[in-house]
Amino acid sequence: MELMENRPELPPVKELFKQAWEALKAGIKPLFFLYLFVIVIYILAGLIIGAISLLLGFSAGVFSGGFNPGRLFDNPLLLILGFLILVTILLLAVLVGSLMPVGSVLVLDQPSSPSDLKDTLRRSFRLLVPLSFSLLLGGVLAFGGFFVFILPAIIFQFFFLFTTYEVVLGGRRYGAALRRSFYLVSTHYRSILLRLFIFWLPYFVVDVLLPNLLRRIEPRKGILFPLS
Amino acid sequence: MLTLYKQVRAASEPDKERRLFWLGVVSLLGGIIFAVLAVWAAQFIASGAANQTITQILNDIGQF
Repeated sequence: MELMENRPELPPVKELFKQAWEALKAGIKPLFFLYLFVIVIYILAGLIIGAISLLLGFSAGVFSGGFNPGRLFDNPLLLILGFLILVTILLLAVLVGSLMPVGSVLVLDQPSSPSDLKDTLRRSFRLLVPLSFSLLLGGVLAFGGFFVFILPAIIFQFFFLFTTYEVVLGGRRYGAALRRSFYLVSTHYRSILLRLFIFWLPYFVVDVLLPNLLRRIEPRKGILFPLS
Repeated sequence: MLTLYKQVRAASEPDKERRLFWLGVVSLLGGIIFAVLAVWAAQFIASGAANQTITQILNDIGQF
């Protein structure tokens, strides 16, 4: 039995928090710039989309004689062109946003390396397709598990916890990443569950328990307290 | 999570994996259940019974 074998235990929880804090401290600066870059891209995309929408509206005479969006349909070519430009910009913004999880892992993994944002983004971009398909494969398995009384889906997602890290740092792809994540989690599931519980406990208290308690105590003012 | 992953990886044998066979079997079973449900739902909607049921539910809600 694979699960019954003697395996080295994980370091104590205190050590995990200490190491995680050290990693965060070391990578906070490049991480900040990475997030800033994505926020700037989103703002730019929003501004361009807004500007194009306005330009389209003015070109099609949408604003002449009051606001009349139906006039856009008078010029189908303009409508299709505008729609294509908007979709392209939106997709680009989503693409940049989806680089974030990969970029964050890369930055936190090698905080001592020079904070070369361009290099991080280039590496993230190369990993985007394998990561998306690996996660999709795990999602398909979990989706099937959902229809067998929900619980398997939750268990499957737990087993695939490290898929992202296996793709980004372990160099595995698709099924191999899922199989490796399954192995890692299933061989240390008790320790991992305990640590996840400790991770999520503060979130639960601050985000769920406290606002609900405050709402019970003072229904009218309590609504001001939720942090989410 | 990254630190946890690194700790787990360090405490595990390198290059070892676990087969997804049973996960696949359960997922396939779920997929079949989903397909059966989808076919049933499609027939339910196509037969017009769905409209009647929804109208009935809305009427019942309205009575309250």
